[in-house]
Amino acid sequence: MKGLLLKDFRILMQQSRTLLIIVFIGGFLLITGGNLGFVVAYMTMMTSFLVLGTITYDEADNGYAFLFTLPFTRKEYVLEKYVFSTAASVIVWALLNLLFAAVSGSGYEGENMLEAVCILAAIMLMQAVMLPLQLKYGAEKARVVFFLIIGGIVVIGVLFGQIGGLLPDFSREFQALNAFFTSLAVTGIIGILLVASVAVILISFGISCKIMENKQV
Amino acid sequence: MVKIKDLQKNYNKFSLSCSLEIAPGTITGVIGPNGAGKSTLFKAILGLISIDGGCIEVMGKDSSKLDKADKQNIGVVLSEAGFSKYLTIKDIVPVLEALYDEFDGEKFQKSCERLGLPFDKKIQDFSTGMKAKLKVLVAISHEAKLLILDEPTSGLDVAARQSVLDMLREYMERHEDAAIIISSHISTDLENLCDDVYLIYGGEIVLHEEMNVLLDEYAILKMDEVQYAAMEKQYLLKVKKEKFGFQCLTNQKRFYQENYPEIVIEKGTLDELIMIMMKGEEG
Repeated sequence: MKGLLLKDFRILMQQSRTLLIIVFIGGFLLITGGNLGFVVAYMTMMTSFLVLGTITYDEADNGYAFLFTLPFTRKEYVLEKYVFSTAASVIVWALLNLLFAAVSGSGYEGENMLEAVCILAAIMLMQAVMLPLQLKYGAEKARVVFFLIIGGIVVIGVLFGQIGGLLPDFSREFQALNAFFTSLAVTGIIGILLVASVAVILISFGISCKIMENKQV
Repeated sequence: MVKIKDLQKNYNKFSLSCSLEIAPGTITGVIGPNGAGKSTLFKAILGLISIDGGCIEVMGKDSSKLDKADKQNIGVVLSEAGFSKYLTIKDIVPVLEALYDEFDGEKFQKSCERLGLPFDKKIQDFSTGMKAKLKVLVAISHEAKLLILDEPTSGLDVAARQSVLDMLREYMERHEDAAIIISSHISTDLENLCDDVYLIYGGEIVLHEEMNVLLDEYAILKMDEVQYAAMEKQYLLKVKKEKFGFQCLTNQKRFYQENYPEIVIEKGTLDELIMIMMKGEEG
């Protein structure tokens, strides 16, 4: 695991210029009065893309064939990708939030905290979807499949809206759900989001392991 | 060290079926033209691809079940794969240090210096020779008991090829119980290196012989049609029709030397033996 982490860190450092550009754009957005939440989301998301990009380096030029002769199992390889991508996102997210909290001088409570956790949960979800896709299809195809999935969700949403009147009335269930969340304290919602994120990541990890175990290199 | 029994691997337009055995303390060569199945065989030994039949045992274990500890004892060169080309030697040393228990960073760096491999240059900017030397250095850097080397000399000039082969000879001198399986489509590379050799052609092993037997006992016989008609054909392995008559491969050189002194008997290089083995008809 340590060897793999070192390898990915070295590969990430190859993209230090891109990292600088991300920091530069983030800074620019802040100076021009951009929303703090958006800047955190943007910078964490871009870091996450860079980290996921290490898979592209691994698979290029038959790289998997050589990598899997090194002393680690395919499961460990997958685990390292999850550890590295989750750690990188969480660290960048946490640092940015701490920085902004310190600069603005305001505490991070209530709505602010909820917004920050929502951003992290969304990025974890994105990673949980992207990792198995990248491992299965490679970087290029995975990106296409990812956008198809997002597009599909939007289309389903629109269709649902169009034919909503024809469906049985769920408004009571929605109201109940809404009431349930409103009744929860912010910490409760944050807790649910974090638990859900972990659950999604674990499911995604299981799928990724299966994909790599069956991969012919 | 490696035992393969009735291995079967099927692709759409290609099938590999073979059996072979590699004993400790030996260097086994696998020779064959491009596309003969050498790389598929090596990937199967390493458990990188699934197999459709037969069994492969590596150091007493099914090759699909090789774990971390087993892989510590295997050094690998694959013909078209290695560390990411964007990394430098400086980048990969700590990675190898973390991965292999027996990796000696200092010794590795000294070897790199000796072979003129730059530390700060990305692998993509290495010459073909430098890349090949680095791959072999990585494979022999961690005291592996089994070296699996697929085309380690591919694309190299004579000097670079010799330097790679010398590294392997030195390794075997220091590790008497180790074993090497090495493939090449340049048979002269293996002539002075291997103890035995497998010739693979069209996905099948068409010849397995000890190298000294191959070089001492095998010969190419050249004769006209009248001589061929009168000849004892029991010891002819392959026969090939030529303009002048026939060219035949035998593994009983002395028999023909003693009984047919009038025909031309050539010792033949490994390449010539291989050519007739592949192109000739059954004797």
